[in-house]
Amino acid sequence: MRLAAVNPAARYGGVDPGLSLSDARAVLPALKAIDADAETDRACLGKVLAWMRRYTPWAAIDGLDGRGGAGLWLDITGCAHLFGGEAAVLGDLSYRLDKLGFASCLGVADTPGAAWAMAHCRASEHMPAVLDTGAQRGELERIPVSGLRLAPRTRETLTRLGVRTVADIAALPRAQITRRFGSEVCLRLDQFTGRVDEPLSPEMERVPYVARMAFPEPIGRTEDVEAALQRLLKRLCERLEKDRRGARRLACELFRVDNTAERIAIGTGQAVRQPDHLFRLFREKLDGLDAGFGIEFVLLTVTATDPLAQDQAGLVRVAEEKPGDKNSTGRELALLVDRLEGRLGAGRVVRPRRQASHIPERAVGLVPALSKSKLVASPSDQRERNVLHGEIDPLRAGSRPLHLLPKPEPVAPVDALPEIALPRGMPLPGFEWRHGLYRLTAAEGPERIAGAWWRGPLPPDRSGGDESYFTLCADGGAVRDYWRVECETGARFWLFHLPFPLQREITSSLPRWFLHGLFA
Amino acid sequence: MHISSDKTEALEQLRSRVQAIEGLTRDFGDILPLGVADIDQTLPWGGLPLGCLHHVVGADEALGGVAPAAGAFVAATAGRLKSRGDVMWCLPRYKPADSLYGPGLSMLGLDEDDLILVRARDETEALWAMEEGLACADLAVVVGVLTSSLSLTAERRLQLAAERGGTTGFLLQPGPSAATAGAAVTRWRVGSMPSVPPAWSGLGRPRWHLTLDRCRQGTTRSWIVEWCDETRDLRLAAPLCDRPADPVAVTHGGAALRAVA
Repeated sequence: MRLAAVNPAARYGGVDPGLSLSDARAVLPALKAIDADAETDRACLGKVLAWMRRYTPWAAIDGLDGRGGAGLWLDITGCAHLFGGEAAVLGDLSYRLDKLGFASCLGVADTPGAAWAMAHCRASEHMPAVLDTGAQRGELERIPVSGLRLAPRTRETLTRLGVRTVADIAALPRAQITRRFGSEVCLRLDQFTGRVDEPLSPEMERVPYVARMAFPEPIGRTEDVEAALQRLLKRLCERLEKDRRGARRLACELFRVDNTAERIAIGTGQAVRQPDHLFRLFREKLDGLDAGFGIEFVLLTVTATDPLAQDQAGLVRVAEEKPGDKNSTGRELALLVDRLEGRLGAGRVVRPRRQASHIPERAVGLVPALSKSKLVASPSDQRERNVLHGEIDPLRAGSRPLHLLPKPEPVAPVDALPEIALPRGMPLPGFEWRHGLYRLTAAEGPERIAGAWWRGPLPPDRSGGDESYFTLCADGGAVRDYWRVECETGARFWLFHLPFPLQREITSSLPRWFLHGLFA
Repeated sequence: MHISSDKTEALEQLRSRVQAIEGLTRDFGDILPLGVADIDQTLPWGGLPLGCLHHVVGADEALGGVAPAAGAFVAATAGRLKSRGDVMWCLPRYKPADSLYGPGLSMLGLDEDDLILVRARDETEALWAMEEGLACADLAVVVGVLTSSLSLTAERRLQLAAERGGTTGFLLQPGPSAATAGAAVTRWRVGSMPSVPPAWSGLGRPRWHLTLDRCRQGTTRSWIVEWCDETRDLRLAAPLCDRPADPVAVTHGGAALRAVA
């Protein structure tokens, strides 16, 4: 472990960055070490950069120098006079950075290259270095090679060759330098003097999607609030359109005269930027709005967005889309799902989705209704493909029930009448379930469904915490023999029992037959 | 008895006025034939009219809160409409609400991918969701599962929503209920019947007792139909003639016969 950066006190104590931690501890036993975290440093630098926008909108990150320092560029062209000149900007910046707890070295020059050199080689803390306009050439002699932003290898080689200052480099024939070091050295030199332009690419500020509206007179009628909301939504949606984004979550805050606020939040199932869609979601929640003494301020914020491609609203008219046509955008459906979820709660509007499992209760999962990964192939194609790839067992027509009980329920088999032998092919004469007696007239089976021994036990919600069933279905014990049976009234059931050898192993108190589903 | 022409005319006028009151003056442009000629001919529209409300009731005592036969009839009918859009199934959150099983539904012709389940907290919410769904043109069918009979006003409201959105609605009521006045265009009662055992051992085709309880501008009738799993359609069952009353004896006898042969 090596030291990445040290504070002035440690430097004073004789510890420098690059020293190994054990050596540093030997030098300075009281040293307190904290793990270096470049990610946090970068985030902090980003915040400082955002703060720099108080001086100029044209600010960019130079990067971490790996020794605990970091650089920022500020293009103060045309901004300095707002603060009373360059010196005043420097003074203010230095003072404020100091107050914020940052040590800073500031340099000002005509070109970024020269400013970098001034900040790194000429300035010291509390002593900004300013290079006057057009003075780069005269300054060459006083800037060491390290002021040129060269790669460490190049810098070392140059130093070894006796090249000490930038002026020394400028005196050398350019062709030879380029042959020896590539274009880097000459480029940096030209950037220093300003012969080559070096643009800064500032990180543009991301303006949050916020719209507000203040009223000269407090409003109280819901219609007025709705009208205000519609206007704000329109404004925000235009901005979203420009950025090719759609809203996922919005919050509307209504500030009353008596300094209280009402917050209404909505969410959508997919990115949306139709003002009327969003407005209808809000209107659901505006019903019981209490305006109190009146609302004087409305603030609308988009709190989450997703990318959304621009639609060609100008080419295809929405009205021409046939309603119910599968190729239509499904916008109405999206709106419906959003409204339903808005009122019923999340996770209430779902689609069943087939899952690759042969175990009945695991064969279907629920996904949000607007998840777009719908199978493209028609079901029959899909079935063929599944068979080909062995993804899902092909199920024989009519072999699965319409209703599957969330949890298999134990049923009590009816004893066979002594005078009538159980007909062949009939697993049991009848059974009792939920206080009803069902005598079988026909049966088909068994269909053996083995457990997924490679998976853990069933999720608790399916097994319902029933201890006996839980142990039954855990790991390898879930081999089940299913029967489709029909009773006298024509009702059809899906029963299963454990394979017989297994039943003997499990305690005798365990119910032998379970009802798992109801057929049509 | 001879009815004079002006009386016939007056009757016609009265009929059209009644129809106007019932909101059925527009002709049902979209009709879904059920695929059984006898049923389609009995329905005055030549099939099940779309864009309106139908009421389907279970004939038997509900098995654990569901009526599989009635549900299957609705699912099979909705499955034939899936090319027009998605099918929404609104469930009041009572015990078997989540028990609707995807593979079983797709065997009735209604694929999971075309199905949206709405899991409401109670019947009021389910009905609200149903009304919203009926007004949505992107949906083909909205099914609402009821726990009790609806008031005439509620049913009428749903019927109007269906007319507005052009979506077909099914009210699915598991338990048997008294035939009350309702705003639905048709009312069906579906119960399961003992199937005819096939020549080989096992189960025959599921057999339902389908009763058209009420039908606007039409008559009521009942049929015995069979669901064919392979072709996924309904067909009229062959009349019951060779099935004695005691099924246990039949199978017993059949087994004995086979044993002799």
